Amino acid sequence: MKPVYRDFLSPETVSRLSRLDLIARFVVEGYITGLHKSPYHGFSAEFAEHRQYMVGDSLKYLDWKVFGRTDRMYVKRFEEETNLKSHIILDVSGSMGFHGEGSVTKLRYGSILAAALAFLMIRQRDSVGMVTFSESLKSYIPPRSVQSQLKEIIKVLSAAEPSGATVTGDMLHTLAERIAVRGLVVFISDLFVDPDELIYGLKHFRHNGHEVLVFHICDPKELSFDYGAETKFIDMETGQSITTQPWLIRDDYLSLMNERMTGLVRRMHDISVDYARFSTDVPFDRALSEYLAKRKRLY
Amino acid sequence: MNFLNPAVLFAMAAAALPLVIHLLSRRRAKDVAWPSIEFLDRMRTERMRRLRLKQLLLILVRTLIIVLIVMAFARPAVNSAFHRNARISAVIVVDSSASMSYVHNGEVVYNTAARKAGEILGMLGENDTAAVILSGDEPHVLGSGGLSADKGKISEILDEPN
Repeated sequence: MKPVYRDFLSPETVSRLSRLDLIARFVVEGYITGLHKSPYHGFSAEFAEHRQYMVGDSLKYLDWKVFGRTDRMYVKRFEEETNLKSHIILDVSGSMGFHGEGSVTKLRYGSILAAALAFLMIRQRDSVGMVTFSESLKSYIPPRSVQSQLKEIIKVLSAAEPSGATVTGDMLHTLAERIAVRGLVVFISDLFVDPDELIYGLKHFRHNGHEVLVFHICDPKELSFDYGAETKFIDMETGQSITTQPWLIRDDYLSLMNERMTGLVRRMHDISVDYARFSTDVPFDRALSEYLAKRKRLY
Repeated sequence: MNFLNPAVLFAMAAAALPLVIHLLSRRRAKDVAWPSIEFLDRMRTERMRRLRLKQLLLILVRTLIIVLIVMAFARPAVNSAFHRNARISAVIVVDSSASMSYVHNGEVVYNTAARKAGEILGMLGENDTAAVILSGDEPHVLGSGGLSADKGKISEILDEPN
């Protein structure tokens, strides 16, 4: 992708737009425009060909322009015929409200990502549902493929405020049982959860035949941990605090976090869950590419 | 212990600097909202205890360094009173120039000086050595030259009229 397009899709730039639905459109269309060719063969939300109109066909996809010019009735046929049922699960716990200097909060990043994905999915005529959670299920929008679904999703996303502990526990299991049809599950979180609970929950989805894609959102400051002064760290979820000189524990802290993540990623791969990590300064085109690559495999 | 340069000792106040700096930096701790201190907490017990000890030692050593440097500048001196049994090597210089022929209080000044020198020689102990140097027109050491244990001999030569 050309560098100049990536600048437009940087979280900082994009986040300045006020309305989430505009952001979603901006990100997706910016992404598609910036590509030299389609993300993968066969992907097109554009129509592919005409089919002769038969009595009884829905008039929704009738090509009126052609009718106006030639008096012949054709129905548009689109490349993308399969209808995938997707669920986007977004972590809205307190920890998602974190942001280092100059970056957007993880929740903001996750929300934009969720909105863009929903936008993309609707355009592809997939149905998409939305779930937000912190210490329990916060909201649930059942999957639908109509355009108005986007509005519902945007509404929920725009209103989401980071608060509460991060507990996946029963929530994932309940959700897995609730979803009747196999589809795609996109899990967006900073993964400050109990690893066992998370894996167990994702396993349930896999067991039920769903494909799972995990987007791990990090903040650059969490990854670098370069604090210069003596600091009092206050937990955003529990309120506990620890005062320390961060540079003294930096190396140990980073290797501890690394170890943890490596273990978690390995366990995800073991159950065929796809994992992608994005820090909040990474432009959205990468995340979209990741999703589309996964989607392609699901025909 | 004496200090030959006690004025410098006021700088000892600088020895408080390492401790002060440490205390100040503690108060300036910045508050940062952090997503999950679970992992910081896990590290706190053993690692941070070890680090605390290291910090303390550092402060101690730095304070000590400053104290020693300041003391060095103050030039500590140890009294010879501590070492009564140390050997003394005495060098006595007697002015034997013409001006010493002056008579003061009924005595030739040179003789007074010689007498004083003799007294000092008398104060010396068994193991002490001495040399007397006459610093007149041609300064020379009395006797065979160099320090000598034989104070008596030196006294005699001294008494000979110039």
